[in-house]
Amino acid sequence: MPGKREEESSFAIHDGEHPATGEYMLSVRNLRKSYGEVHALRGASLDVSKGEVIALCGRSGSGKSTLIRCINYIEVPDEGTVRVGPVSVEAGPMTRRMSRRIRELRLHTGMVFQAFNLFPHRTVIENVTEGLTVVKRMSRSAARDTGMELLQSVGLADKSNVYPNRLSGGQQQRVAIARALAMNPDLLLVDEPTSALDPELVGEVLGVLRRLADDGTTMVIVTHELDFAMEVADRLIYMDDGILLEQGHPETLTRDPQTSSLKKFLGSIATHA
Amino acid sequence: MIGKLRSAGSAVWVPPRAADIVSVERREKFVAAGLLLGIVTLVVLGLDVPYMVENVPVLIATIPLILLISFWAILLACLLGFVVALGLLSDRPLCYVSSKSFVSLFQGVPVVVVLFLLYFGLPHLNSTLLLTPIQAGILGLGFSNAAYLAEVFRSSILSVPAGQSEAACAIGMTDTQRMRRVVLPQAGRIALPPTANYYIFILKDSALVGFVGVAELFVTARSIGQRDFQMLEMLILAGSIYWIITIALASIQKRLEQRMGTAYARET
Repeated sequence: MPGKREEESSFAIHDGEHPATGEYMLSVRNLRKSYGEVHALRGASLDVSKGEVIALCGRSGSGKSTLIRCINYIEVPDEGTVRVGPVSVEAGPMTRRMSRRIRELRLHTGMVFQAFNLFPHRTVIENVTEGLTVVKRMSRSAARDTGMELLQSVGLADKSNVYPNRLSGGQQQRVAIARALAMNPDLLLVDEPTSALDPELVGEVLGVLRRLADDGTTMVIVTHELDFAMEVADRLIYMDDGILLEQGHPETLTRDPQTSSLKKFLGSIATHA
Repeated sequence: MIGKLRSAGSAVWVPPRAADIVSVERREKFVAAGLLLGIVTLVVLGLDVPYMVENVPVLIATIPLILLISFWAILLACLLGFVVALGLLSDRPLCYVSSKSFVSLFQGVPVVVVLFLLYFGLPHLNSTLLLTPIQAGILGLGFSNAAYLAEVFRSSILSVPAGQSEAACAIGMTDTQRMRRVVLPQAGRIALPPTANYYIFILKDSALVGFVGVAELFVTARSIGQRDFQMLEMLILAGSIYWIITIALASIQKRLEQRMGTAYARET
């Protein structure tokens, strides 16, 4: 087993610590995923330290959403290993044991979706406490306290008893963030949090994420908001054609792109601005 | 502008506002007018209205029976339909194939035939399998409609957006928790209107149970009509009673839907 680790670590793009030492909150090794003939992920590896904020960017179809969705096995990768905190899962046949491992992995991982995916049949507070009462079997009142605290922190305590359809997109996304945080995850995966929002609602969601970043939440954020990525991310990763093509400090990467693909990508964004 | 387009009957679709939906008082007026029109028609047709009125109580006395039969039948159909729906969605070949066969069989065979097979056929296989006519009726209606409801439930479950399951998984729910807490409540809301429709179908199809010897509404009406040579009167009477029950059920259905739609209501 140690020998195998050694071999896998050669795929790591991020130099430095040996992944097996557990310094990283997230370690992804050689993740592959294809849909028929389409190879969405062609061997992605990534290490994220505790408290690090990663921004993933790239064209649509570059595999960034697939990568983030493979990390908590919402999308099942064909090959590769994912470790979040203490739980490591290697892709393989979906056995009973495997699904237990995946569930354990998910208990350490929170996820925020592009389309919010709030439970429409539950009120705002019920959305936030659902995981606590159902999955963690916390008492209703304790869950409610935690839930209200989180709603307070995203500025929606006054909406606790309304149903999601009465909220704006920005408010819904903030509830979704609170729902993910309620499970106290080691890692927060954020998949294009503002892509479904009206421009004037983007700020409030990014504001919440910015505060989380400042508080030391380990996050992987897929985003098109390059300005935001520059501001909060410790590392910017550019994906192209199913691999992590370039990465580095946001300033450095955008100032001095190495590949023509990233140059073109940055150029296309600049012309939009 | 929008109002103008609407009143002009233009092709532009505008969502109905609460105020546009026919109010209760207006609906009551419609019903009263309809009833009056119906009675006038009966008189114009030269039907013996006093005779019909006289026989109303006998027919009404059978209503508890058909409500009972249809209640147990829809209950059976729902439970069985749900299990079969899960089978249709299952990855396991045996579950899928047996569920699919069940659906195919009971969708393909007329209810009357199923009813006759249960009532007249089963005792031939084994004399202990002798059912009472009412039991046969409940089972026959239940099985046949379970096949249809299975498809309703299957598609309702599938129509819950995948994002809901993803969100449930993301917070660490097990498959069972995901189904029970997230998918089924939402699927149930989608399945309610068609299921209520099937209840109405079952209620009307309870007339078939008369063929295996249950003195339900239709058979009773027919035998009285035959006895008095007033067939048309009794058939119209029976039809009207079915119709009225159906209207009552539909209004219960509507209220249920409104209650289940609380979380989705746009207006307070």
